[in-house]
Amino acid sequence: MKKSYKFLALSFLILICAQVNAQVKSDSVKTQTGTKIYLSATAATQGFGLDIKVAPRADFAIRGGASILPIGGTHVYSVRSEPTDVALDGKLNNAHIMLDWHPWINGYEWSKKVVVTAGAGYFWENGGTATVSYRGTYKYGDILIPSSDLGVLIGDVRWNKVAPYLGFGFEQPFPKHKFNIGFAVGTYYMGKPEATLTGTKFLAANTSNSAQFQENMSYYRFLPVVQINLNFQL
Amino acid sequence: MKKLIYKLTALTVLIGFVFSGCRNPAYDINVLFDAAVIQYKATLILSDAAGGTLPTTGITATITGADAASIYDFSGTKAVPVTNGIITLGVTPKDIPTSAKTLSFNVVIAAPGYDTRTIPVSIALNQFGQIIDIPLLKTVVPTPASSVVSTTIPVNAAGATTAPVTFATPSTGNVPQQTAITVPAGVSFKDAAGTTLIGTVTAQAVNFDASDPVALALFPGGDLSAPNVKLADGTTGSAFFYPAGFTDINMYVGGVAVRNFTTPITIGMQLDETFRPQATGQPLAVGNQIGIYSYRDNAFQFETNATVIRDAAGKLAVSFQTNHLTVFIAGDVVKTANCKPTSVTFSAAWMQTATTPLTVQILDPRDNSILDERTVLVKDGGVDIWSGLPPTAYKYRIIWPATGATLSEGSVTNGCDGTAYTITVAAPGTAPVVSVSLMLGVICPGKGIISVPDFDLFYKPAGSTAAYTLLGTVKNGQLRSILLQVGSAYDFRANWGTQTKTVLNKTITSADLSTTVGDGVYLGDKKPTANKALLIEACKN
Repeated sequence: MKKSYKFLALSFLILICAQVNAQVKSDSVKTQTGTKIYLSATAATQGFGLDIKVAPRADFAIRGGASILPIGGTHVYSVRSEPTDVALDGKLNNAHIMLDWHPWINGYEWSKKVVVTAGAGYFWENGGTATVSYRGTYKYGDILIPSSDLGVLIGDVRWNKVAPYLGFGFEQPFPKHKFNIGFAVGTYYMGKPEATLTGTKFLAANTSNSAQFQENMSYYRFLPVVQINLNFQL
Repeated sequence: MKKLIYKLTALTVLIGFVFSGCRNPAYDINVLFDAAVIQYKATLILSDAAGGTLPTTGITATITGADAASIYDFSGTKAVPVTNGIITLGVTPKDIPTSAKTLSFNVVIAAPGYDTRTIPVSIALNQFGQIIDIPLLKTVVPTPASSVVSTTIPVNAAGATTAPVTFATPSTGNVPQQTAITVPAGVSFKDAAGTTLIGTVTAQAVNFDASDPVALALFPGGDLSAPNVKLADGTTGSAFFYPAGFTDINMYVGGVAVRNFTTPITIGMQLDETFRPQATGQPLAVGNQIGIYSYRDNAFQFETNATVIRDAAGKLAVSFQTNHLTVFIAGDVVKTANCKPTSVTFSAAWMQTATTPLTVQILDPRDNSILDERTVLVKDGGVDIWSGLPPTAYKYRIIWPATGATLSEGSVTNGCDGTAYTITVAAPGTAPVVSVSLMLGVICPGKGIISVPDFDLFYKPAGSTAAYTLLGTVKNGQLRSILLQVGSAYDFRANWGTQTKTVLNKTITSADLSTTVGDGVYLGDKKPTANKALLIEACKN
């Protein structure tokens, strides 16, 4: 929790610094007029999405959209030195609204592309399930129990549905071309997730591990975002 | 500015990933496999029928029959050890009983100096635990429910009797009925292969008092129900016996068992005079027809009908002839094919969450004679399955073993119609009921807390020479019993496979005795180093 506060403080510090920096510049790019509208396709660590971006000014834009992140697949891990199959099934799908601000719009060529983004997402799909099954045959004396009869461990994690976002990126303000590419990094603050761990059949006793799993997952409060935007001016 | 941008980028990415991944989701999670792999269990408790002490070695148990492949020891081994006279059986998880499939198998128990016994066992759906008492009989030693005669039958060089020989079991205070065997002249003795045996013939006969409840456990198969009976109508199936008398006759020539005779011999069996034939419902009387059955190689077979007579001694008896040797039973038999067991739920709120072994008696409502007696681990809300009982009405009685006090009694209208009953068990009117918890946690080095497999725990007063008796089954490391008194000391014993763990002179200091065993936690007051080595070895499994 202490680390989270540090992160938030640091992020605000970045914002404040950027604002101060912007105020000392007085070039005229900021004063360009005419609202521009963009359609942005995004590919990012939080999934693929589509945004509509409205920029009334060169240094400010508001955008809204949605992205989806299906998480799936089966992987092999070792749990207590035993090979296990881990099947993931989750979704982090969100609708979001973001404010983009170029604090150094009248600065150098590179600095005016810096965009600071703040906003929030509503995750209508906000978690997932990992199903862990033992690979191989469990031996109890002379009794062999195949993995299909042993049962599975099911870890379920659900984050908050509403999550604030903070980040920054690089993007040409009021680009001359219809198409342009932007880049952004940031993170959603997802909050402390609700996590449960249950077991079936011979693994049913693992419900007692649920509290430890909840504790472990409480460290997973941020959804990092590394994103590429393909913008098309309408 | 470029530097600033690079720094910001690096910082943000770092923050995002570091904060997201600083704890392994599986950190400090000890995956627990349910130690109760075997859920359907049967515990066979062996004893000496004459009250003696069983040998500590040499007793073997072999599982045979249709579902033998599904049966293992509690510890999961296919070999079934007999440890301290206890046999612990379980059903492998993949073969557990269903509503359509009741498991049936035999337990063949051989002990040095004792008659080999074959005990049919069935395990039905929801019949999670059974406790079966098996007294072992030394043929030549009488018991409180049996009398014995041993003799020698003179034969000529050809192995044939030269004159009629009659010998009879004695009439004793415990067993007033006698069985007399008459071997006529000219009889030769054959083994199982049909070969005539030449040599001195030794003969033994054991006569049982069919009216004595103690004799029930000595009946072939261990109780009056039998899965494999060839009936008078030629059909074969499960049946329930109402014995008026039974006797076990053996003869040997040079250690080889006699199985057949060239000429039939005559058996005169005195009967229980309180017996009531199913046909009349009245006390046994001269002229009644009664069935004669034999038991050999785990199967019962109808032999003949015999007419009840009053013999020279003035006792009600039957006389019949046979050309083979085995156990003979005189009595009635009722079919139990398609029998649905009775489900019983115990209500005993005074027991709280404890369990306690109680005696359940099944009685014939016509004369209150005991048809069955079994030990049941009872707990409030616990369910027991009553099978192997006749398709008729019967009475039941729940007894507090320590005093013989009746805690509950009632009736079942039909032992085979599958009706469910709830039986309220009253508290014993002795000392205040105190529930004592024994909890055992085990921490394996490098593995953390593990689930302790279920096991049966036996106890006796500390230092007592009495036999250990069942305290209960430890489930998930916990046993809660009302049989222990705070302030008293006990000896405890548990078996696991071929291993035995005994804790002597343990005083119950409080109603909550919880112990966690593990390296750095508690390794016992005595020999902690040895216990640590034992723990490490056990934790490898």
